Amino acid sequence: MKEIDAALEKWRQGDVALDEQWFAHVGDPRMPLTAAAAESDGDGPQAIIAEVAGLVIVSQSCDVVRSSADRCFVEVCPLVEVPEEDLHQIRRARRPRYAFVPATAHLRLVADLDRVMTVEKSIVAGWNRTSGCSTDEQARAFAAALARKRQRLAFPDDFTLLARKLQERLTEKHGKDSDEGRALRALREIRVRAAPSWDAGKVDILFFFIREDDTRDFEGKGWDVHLDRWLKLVPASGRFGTVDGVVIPLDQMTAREYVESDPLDLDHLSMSL
Amino acid sequence: MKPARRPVFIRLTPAGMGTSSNIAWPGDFALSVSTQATSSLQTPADRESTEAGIFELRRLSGLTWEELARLFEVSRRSVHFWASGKPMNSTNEERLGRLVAAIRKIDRGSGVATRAALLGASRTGQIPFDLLASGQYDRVLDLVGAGVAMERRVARTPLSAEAQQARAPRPPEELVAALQDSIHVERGRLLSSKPIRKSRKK
Repeated sequence: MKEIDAALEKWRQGDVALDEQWFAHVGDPRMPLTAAAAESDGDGPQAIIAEVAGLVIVSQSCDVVRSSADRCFVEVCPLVEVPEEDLHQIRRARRPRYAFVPATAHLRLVADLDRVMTVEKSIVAGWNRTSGCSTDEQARAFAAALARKRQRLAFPDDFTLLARKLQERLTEKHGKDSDEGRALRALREIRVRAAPSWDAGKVDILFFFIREDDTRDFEGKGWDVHLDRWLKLVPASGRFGTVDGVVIPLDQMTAREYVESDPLDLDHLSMSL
Repeated sequence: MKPARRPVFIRLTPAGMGTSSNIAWPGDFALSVSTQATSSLQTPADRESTEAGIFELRRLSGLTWEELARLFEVSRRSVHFWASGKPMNSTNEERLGRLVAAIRKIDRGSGVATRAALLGASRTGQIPFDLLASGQYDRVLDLVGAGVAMERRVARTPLSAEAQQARAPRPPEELVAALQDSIHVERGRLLSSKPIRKSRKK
């Protein structure tokens, strides 16, 4: 066991094993949903081992290096190949199913977070390790992608409908060379607070448009002009009795407001409702 | 016929930037008094001072957006817009200046403590918050007493630009249109398979 722990000492979340091109899952050849399941034989569920491009560690680094007496498993995801043009979208977190792995970007390999496999540490101890992330920023981005995959709030359908025009506006105007485009690019984050709760019969909505501290106005136009424009896209309706918003620098937001609100994280319009 | 009375315009400006006519107050901002007729002439600097005043009032008093709105007898939405840079009329601008000055005097060192002092009943049964709302600033000071927190901020070493960047959330435009379709090339070649249930003997 000491040898296993010693072998795992250097492994971190995001590290990859490019030589390990296999991945196990359970499928049924009678109702195959994957090529591997279709290829397999048998009458009933099968433990299927299929070829992948490699494996990436998704367990927390502290669990990986913790003694195998306490923690004997490691979770891994398969590395899959994506088209070059989509790689930057994954890097920018536009595709929550995948996580960008800096060390395999040149191979166009990313982590497929839809699939997770558990292996015993004794197996990992025999793998060739390639460091996945070389900086704290890269490691944080990888961890954030893992967290987002599991943590995204499923906003109620009626809120998704309410926010649709605002979402459309944000997507349309963000890249534009206009005062609104610049204003949108100067936003650090958009959060939304639902009181008393998302599932209440009557809900007060408050949008926090959190701006960078050094952006006060655009070509003489104050943030209030943009706020007015954005709030007109989300008129109070249905359960949402009031819909308000404020443009606020991060330093002026209270910790309570931050923890009582959720990041506005929505699926692309074509995916929602 | 009486001449029209010009409203007093009180502006909050960062300390050290004011003129000799400024009234010096402890803290970050100073009050300057002028006789500007309307707020329609407000410049970006005026907007900045309005925002700063609203945020300082909120931070020191610990009052909620709703409670701030009650102080000004306006809707919560109006206060949100002022905080977002919408110009105030001169009456509210004056009230803001006086409220900030009053709150600075009774500042307890934390928003929670100052709010508790404002909303608690006094010995006379009066609520300091109500007196504040009705403009009786001296009475608030009499009831609550002067604050003791002038230099309570602890200097913090700022994070490096890289560390701040690493902690920054994904920008809004990347979060409001997540794509969920599968785009990867599935190798998927079967290497082996084995039934997970033993066949039952009949």
